[in-house]
Amino acid sequence: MRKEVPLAIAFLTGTVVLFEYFLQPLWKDSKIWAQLLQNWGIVVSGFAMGVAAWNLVTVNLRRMNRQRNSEWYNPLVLLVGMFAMAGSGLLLGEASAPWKFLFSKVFQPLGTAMFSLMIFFIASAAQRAFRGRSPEAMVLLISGVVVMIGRAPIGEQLGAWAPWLADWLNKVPNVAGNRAIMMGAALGMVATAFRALVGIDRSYLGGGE
Amino acid sequence: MDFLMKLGNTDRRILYIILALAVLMPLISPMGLPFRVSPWTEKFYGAVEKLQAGDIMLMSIDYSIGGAPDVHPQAEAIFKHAMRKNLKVVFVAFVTEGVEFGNQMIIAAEATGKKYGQDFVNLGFAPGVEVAISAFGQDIYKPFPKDVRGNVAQDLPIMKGLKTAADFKLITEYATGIPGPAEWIRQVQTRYKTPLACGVVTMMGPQTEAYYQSGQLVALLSGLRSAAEYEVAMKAPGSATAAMDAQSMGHIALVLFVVLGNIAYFGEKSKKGRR
Amino acid sequence: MSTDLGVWVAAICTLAMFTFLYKDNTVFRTFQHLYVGVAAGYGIVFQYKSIKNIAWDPLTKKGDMLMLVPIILGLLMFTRFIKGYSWISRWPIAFLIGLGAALSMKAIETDFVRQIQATLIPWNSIDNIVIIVGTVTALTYFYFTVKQNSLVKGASTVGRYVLMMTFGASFGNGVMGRISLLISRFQFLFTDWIYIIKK
Repeated sequence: MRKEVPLAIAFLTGTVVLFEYFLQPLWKDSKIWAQLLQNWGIVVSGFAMGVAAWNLVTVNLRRMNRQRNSEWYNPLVLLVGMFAMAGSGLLLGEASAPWKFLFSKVFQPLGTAMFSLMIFFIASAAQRAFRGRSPEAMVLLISGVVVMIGRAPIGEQLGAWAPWLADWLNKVPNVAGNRAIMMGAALGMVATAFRALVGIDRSYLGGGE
Repeated sequence: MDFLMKLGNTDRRILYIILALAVLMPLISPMGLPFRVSPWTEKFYGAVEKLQAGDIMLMSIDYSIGGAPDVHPQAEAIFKHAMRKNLKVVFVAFVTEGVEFGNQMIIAAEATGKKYGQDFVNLGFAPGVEVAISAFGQDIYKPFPKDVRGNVAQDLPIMKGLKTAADFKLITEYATGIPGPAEWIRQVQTRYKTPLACGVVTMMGPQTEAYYQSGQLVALLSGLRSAAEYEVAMKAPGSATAAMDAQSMGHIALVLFVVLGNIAYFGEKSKKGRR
Repeated sequence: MSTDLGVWVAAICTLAMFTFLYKDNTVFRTFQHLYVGVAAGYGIVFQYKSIKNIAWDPLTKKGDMLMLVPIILGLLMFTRFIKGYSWISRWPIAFLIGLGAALSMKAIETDFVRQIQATLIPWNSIDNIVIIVGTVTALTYFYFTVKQNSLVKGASTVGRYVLMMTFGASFGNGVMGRISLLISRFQFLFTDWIYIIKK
């Protein structure tokens, strides 16, 4: 029963939604049921964040053991940041100054700065590893360079050919390749979804009991 | 041989400094390189321009903090365009950060005299990604019963006549990943046929182009460059336009690194071949 | 230089992240933990509000008893932390998987049928021919189970080159996107913090 009940839940839920979209004339009430299930899904998804937060708190409380961790203060910083942000939002509201301060002066700069580091690593990797070792690699390299030059304003100073070629690469061969990838991915997505619905793929149940 | 090897194995910190200077110098001392407005941006501009005063447009702010500098300027420019045309704008978010980005734009517009609840509203965030988008399409008020200011959404003047996604004149979505154009096309555009236009991070541009060419998207903007073009189209250059010179020089730096790396590689290869 | 506390805090956060460019260090790791904490706290606020607005208020203020079902399902997710009862948390997960799987099946229409329709264009221009040939050959490249005769191998090779152009375009666009993130940080540091760039 520990596996059969969740498999049945997944199957029934998915079937109602599929009926509503593909076979609605066969079951007129499927729309009401599908809407209800989706509204329930929004609420259940909200609880998932709560699970993640609880897990974060328990893991970091364990990591704060000074005897075992030299940087024991890092988990403390994490928890202080978490409670400060959550506390200011829940207790003081989103219009409050502490909330706005934490979002625009802490969260936003940290997030943007962290992701902006990637360009440096891309630059370093491009210099070391982006080599035309084979004809295919050469094609990839030239395409990348053409797009980089053509899509920047400086490329337009080289002549009309640079932006035209960059646009052509984006509009024609890129679309052909991405379309093929998209079609393959769609087939894979549908196959995986079908396997999950009928219970062939049970990986989401996890192991153990 | 030694020189070529050094060229191919330059200390990464030197590369970082060169890149940082290449991006910083044009910001301090702008070159003012002109750039054209691409057909993609013209299409998006035209899609907003053809709406009439009082038409309701949806802006789904689905970008995260990490990609916001690439997409937020697009949303800002389009929102300014919408306010200029006296359109009504409903903000939603299926990514938590989208709520605050929407609030930032609303606060700026309120300072110009526009009214919350009449000219725009921020309905907040709904969890569940694709499930929430699908639920939103069928009934706007199920995932968003209240707005961010605690008002009952249905009671707001701007929401009069809105029930499903089909009631919007134009849906615009701004994304850095999931949810993105694919989810909106699957759950909303295909079903309700509402015109859907998307602004995405530059990296997502190539894969989203296929949706644009198949007609599933009426318009597509891709990254900061598109935001700058939109500002030029509106004759209101802003921070995106100011960033274009730095973008150019950053690209030149990257291309230089790639070229130098390949010169070193082919040089070493030919020397080894000669031996 | 700015005298605003908020600007200084933001500048310190930015520079702390940039210290990683020299090498991994404790300052970076500490601010990284701060980022994760603040991000989690931010998410908690909106998830709580959503549950309250969509389920709790309708249940308690309007008597919508059907909302008990998702609230109970959601609470059952926490049983994964209780030894001996974690199998119960499979129920809400299965519910979400069923929903997500069914919704994602619409990809057969949007990502498959519509893309095939979009590829059935007239052979009246070079661009159209390249798109049709490129799509078919790129699909052939992924068709590993068919007998690799000379036609299939040839088509597969052409498809590989088409895919290389696709990935090259993706790389070029990816670089563009990342540079804009760096530009925004520099614009902040040298406009709002140190007044070097004119507004």
